Amino acid sequence: MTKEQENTPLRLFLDLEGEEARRYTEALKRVRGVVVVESDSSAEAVISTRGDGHSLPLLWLPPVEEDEAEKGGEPAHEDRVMPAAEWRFQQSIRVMADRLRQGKLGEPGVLRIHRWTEKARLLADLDLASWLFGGVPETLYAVSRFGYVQCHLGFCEGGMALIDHAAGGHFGDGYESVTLIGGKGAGYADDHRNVNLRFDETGCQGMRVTEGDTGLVDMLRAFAGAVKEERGFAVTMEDWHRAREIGRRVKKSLDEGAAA
Amino acid sequence: MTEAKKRYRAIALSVVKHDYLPNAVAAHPRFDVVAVADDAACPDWVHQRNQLYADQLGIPYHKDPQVAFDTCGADVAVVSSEAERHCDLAMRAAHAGLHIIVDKPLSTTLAECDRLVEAVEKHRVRCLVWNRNYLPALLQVRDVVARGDIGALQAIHCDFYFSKDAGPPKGSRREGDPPINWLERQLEAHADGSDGGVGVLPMGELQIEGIYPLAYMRMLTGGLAVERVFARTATHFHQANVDNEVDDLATVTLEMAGGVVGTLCLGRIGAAAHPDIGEIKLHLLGSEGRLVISEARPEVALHYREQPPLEFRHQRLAEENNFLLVEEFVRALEGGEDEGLVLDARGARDICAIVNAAIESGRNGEVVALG
Repeated sequence: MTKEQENTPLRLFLDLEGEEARRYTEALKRVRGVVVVESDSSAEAVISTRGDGHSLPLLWLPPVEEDEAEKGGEPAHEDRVMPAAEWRFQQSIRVMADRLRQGKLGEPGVLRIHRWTEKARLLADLDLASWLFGGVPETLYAVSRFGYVQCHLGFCEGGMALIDHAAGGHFGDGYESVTLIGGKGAGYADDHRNVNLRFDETGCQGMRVTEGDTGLVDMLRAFAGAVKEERGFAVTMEDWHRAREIGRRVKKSLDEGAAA
Repeated sequence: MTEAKKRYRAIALSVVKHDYLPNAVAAHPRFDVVAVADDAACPDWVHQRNQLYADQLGIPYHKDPQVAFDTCGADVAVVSSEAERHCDLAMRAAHAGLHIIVDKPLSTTLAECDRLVEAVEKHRVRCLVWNRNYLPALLQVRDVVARGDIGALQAIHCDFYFSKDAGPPKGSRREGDPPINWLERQLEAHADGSDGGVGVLPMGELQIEGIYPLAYMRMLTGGLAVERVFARTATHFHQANVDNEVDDLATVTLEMAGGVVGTLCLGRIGAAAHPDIGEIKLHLLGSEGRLVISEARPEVALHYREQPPLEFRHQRLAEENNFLLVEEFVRALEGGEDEGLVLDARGARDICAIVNAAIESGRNGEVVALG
């Protein structure tokens, strides 16, 4: 990349609405070397929930539930698309993943996820699992009751993931706990560890200290950097198809009440 | 003037594992441990440990349990042998009319558990299987659930990672070295307390430690029957487990009566993987609320120069589990058959069935239904 290219801001078009438009707009203010433009005709790259209708490099916000994903609308030009796997860029996850890649934690043994969330996002956790283990599970068993889903994945070399996923409006701010146990060490990213206390006349209450949108900012930096430098994306459509494949097996296991 | 309460006389029926169990009984004001007893045919290391314990308490060591049953006037047998002898010793105590406190796991064999359950019920004695259900955090969550604060329990998840090492790490055996002998490794480990699987028969961590989290779940679900199990097991950390083909890491999906579901993650993850005894947590989802519980609370943090690397940085506090278990046992002895035990022989038998189903599922990759 020439100095001139480096200093020229990347023109991004945000094809988003509502809360997502707000979050992305705010996050992009923290990303150096990008500018948001009003239409895709003057843009060099697009950020959108719509997969189709874009010929420019695309940061695509995919559906994170299998039922939504089945409706279609996936991008056509897959090599120019980065699925917005924000969960991979969450700083607590990134720290654990980096240590795993560096060999500090040894071979991954167990990925344990507890996620209680307002909006279901099982495909995101299935992607996280296949990313950290580097493949699709050999065995899979899923159970669903009372709106909860438990996914039990078995990877090669004995690796395993166990996902406790509960979604619904009553989960409010949600709760996340991700533990990665390796052969030589472990990482614990748990909301339970990041709670302060507040006292008032009703007693004591916990107050979470969150990572905010730092992961989103890091993802946007990665996307913008890859577009400007014309290199491959950190997350690919192949990753997305892999998560979808696991999602379909989860559904099959739930339907049949057997390992899939 | 209050009436003097009966003091119970206890025989320590083998003290080859940790001595926490007979010590807990000896420390309780209503008990006297009056003798140690074990079979004459046991190997020398067993006799040495038994004799050492008898000497520490200044009590006799009988190399024939029947002699101890006949002569000591005992009410209770405290069984802390290798796991493979738990049921046999406990059954002989039951036949002698003694109540029983037995270390975990009850057995790795369901048939042995069934025989003990039958003997306990036939001789109308009480049998407490050791557990950790009286830790402060467990009592807290038990009370919250019992009050109905989270409504009807719908899902329960336990993460049970304990950090003690168990000998050389996986992959450390050099070419030509013999595989690690299970019993020899356990005997070496006695000093640091990582010999929970002491015995001739190798045991995986599901068999050694699984009873603790499963007993938590049993208590918190009100003893709901587990109907289906799916599990994955692996040897991921320790060479002794690899060489003896027993798990040190497991994940289990549980489907219970009434539609309640649960999961268990369990592993001996190694001392490097946690600053304290391990990451042990419970997640409960109810119809009206949810709980995230750390089993380690309350604790105090300690950091200082020249701190030994293996000293836990956080030390647990207010830990009265041992006393409270023995106290419950006294209530059971004096309250009759209606006075329940937090984990009796039948409960431990059911947990053995779950563990065995998980091991089977781990081998064949299929869901295993429990009868």
